[in-house]
Amino acid sequence: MQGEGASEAGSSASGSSPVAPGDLTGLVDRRVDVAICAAILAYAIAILVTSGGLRQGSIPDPIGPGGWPQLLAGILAVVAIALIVRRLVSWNQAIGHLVPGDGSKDDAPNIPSSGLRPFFLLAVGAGWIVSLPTAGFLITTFVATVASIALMRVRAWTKVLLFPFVFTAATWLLFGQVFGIRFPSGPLERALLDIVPHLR
Amino acid sequence: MEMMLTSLTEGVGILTRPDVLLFLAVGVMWGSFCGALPGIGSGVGIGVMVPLTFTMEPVVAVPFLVSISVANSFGNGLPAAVLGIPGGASGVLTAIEGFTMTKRGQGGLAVGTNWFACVFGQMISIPFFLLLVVPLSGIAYVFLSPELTALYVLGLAALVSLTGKNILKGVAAAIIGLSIGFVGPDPVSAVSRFTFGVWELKRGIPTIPAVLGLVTISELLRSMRQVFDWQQLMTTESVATRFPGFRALRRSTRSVLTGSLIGTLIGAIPGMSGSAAAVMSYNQAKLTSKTPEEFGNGSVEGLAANESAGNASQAGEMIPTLGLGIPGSDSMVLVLGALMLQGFVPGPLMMRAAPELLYATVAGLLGAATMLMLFGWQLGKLMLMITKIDRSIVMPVAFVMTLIGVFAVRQSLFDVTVTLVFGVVGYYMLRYGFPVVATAVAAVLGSGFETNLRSGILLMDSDPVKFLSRPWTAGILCVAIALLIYGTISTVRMIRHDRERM
Repeated sequence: MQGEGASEAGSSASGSSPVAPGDLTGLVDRRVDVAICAAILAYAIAILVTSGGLRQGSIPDPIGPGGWPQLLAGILAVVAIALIVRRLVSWNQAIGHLVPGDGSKDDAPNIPSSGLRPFFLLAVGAGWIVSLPTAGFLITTFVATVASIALMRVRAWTKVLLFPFVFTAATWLLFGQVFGIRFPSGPLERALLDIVPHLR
Repeated sequence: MEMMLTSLTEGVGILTRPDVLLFLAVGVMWGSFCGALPGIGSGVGIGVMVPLTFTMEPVVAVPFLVSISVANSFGNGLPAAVLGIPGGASGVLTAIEGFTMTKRGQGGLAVGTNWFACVFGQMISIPFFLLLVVPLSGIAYVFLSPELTALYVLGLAALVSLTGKNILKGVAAAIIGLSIGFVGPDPVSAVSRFTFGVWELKRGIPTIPAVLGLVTISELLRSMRQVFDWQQLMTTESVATRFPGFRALRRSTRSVLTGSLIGTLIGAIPGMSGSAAAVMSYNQAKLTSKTPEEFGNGSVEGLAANESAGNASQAGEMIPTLGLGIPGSDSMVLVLGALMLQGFVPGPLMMRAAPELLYATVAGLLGAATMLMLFGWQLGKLMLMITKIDRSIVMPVAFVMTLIGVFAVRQSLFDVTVTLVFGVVGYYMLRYGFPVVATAVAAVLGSGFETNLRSGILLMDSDPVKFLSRPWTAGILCVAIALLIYGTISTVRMIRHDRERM
């Protein structure tokens, strides 16, 4: 996770980095980079092993169910090894673990970034998935929107509460009533249906 | 030529009817609106409106449905260009190029290019459509699995343009995308692969949720690491939302022309999608551009090539739909269904028996493109207004909206889970230089390639020589190999050039 928060963590390691002090966006932890390549290698090996055990179906063909996956997994494994080797070969050229990455930099150069916020946001998304069947669309979406906005350090109640309320109601009406999407019903939907029976 | 002129004249004639114009306006507004919502494609947009057409005359119903499809394609590009959120798979490259422009304070240029490419892509595709509708209808009979495989190879060759700064990471990203198609039933024998006993994986990993996770959720996660307002990044407010002017758009003319031709041709082949056409067009534009280094960094040409091909493929899809009764996409299935309810019999004789359908289609394409020409920029400007709202509100809402949109496609929470999982994968890929767009495009094209390759080999009695020596297959494969070699050399040169400049 260290490389994840490279931008905010970078200040502590800037002296050991080959990048000019202050220019910390776009730095990545090379250990995480290697770990990702190792994960890709493991993924490729898993495909190779699993596809080897696939049985030929009732319509046999020269390539078979495992042929295409095996070919691609083989190439992927070679590429992953090449990426790991390339990183390891140049390991001694940098002193610290933060190195310039190939990936996207943060949008605003002089504004701190949080490596944890994306994971809190994912937790909000996971919460939406888990609670939708029991709490229903209205409660779940409202809570998820409030939590996501609050994560962005917004504190004004009109923005944190009123906006999510309007958004939730509007999406429910649009998707549920106009497009006919069937969202799971919760206590609030059931109460609404009692009041306005022709709602779906 | 005579048929083309007659169709154009009759089509314009239909457009003089006030009821047609009214429904065209409704269709354009509705289609753009649906296109801008993630998860709501032209299938849902048309599906909701089909019951309205039961009581309409065919010359009103057909332009109405066609206009929804056309405007949907336009609307799809708007949130992609402004917020980096594609409404569907064909908007992936728009999200890359357009959103980069918006982040640079060139939102007006992004939306303007999108508008220009959509409108002129449509306009240019109409004469192509009329010229090709008869000959290409016949080609659909010739294009079997080997030819479709070759076309998929052509599409996959385009991935070389999307490898980013590190070719090895680009190759890894593309293979990861292709591997998404491994999961689920084997395309030939239906043997379950890589499902690990998970019931939801029996049907495979749903492509659209995976693509939205890779492109949209990953970008939202990345951009929400920081809290700031858009205005802090944009140079001046007027630059952000101003119409870019035709001089700025002139750069994209060549991309629009070739993109329209590619879109019409590829869209005409059943089994090929607008997304494949868009990728091929993008690749072609990059390989022939004087400024290929701009691709991936907010390129006007790249955006125009992608959008014009995606939009022109709408006209292309009409060719097998009307010419053979074979729908080219889910929205065309609904159009064909609506025609059947009107009493038409789909098939090769439909156009001969009812030429008014062709005229009505021309009216729909022409009318929708004209309406978008007149009002499309205003619609785009409305979308640009979002950048004036607090970014700390828009981004979280876009996140929740994407979850809702993904759920809306199949009403499946598993799909939403797939989106989040691929969002995390995409986030790490973005941070560590694996091009997510290559993964997304490969995910879209991968399963179609394997299906057609293996069916094609079976069809040719498992004889690879027979497979490869079919004239169309051999011709398309030669073009694909040439593009791959040329593309690889260009990409390596460009990466070296970038390194030397740094």
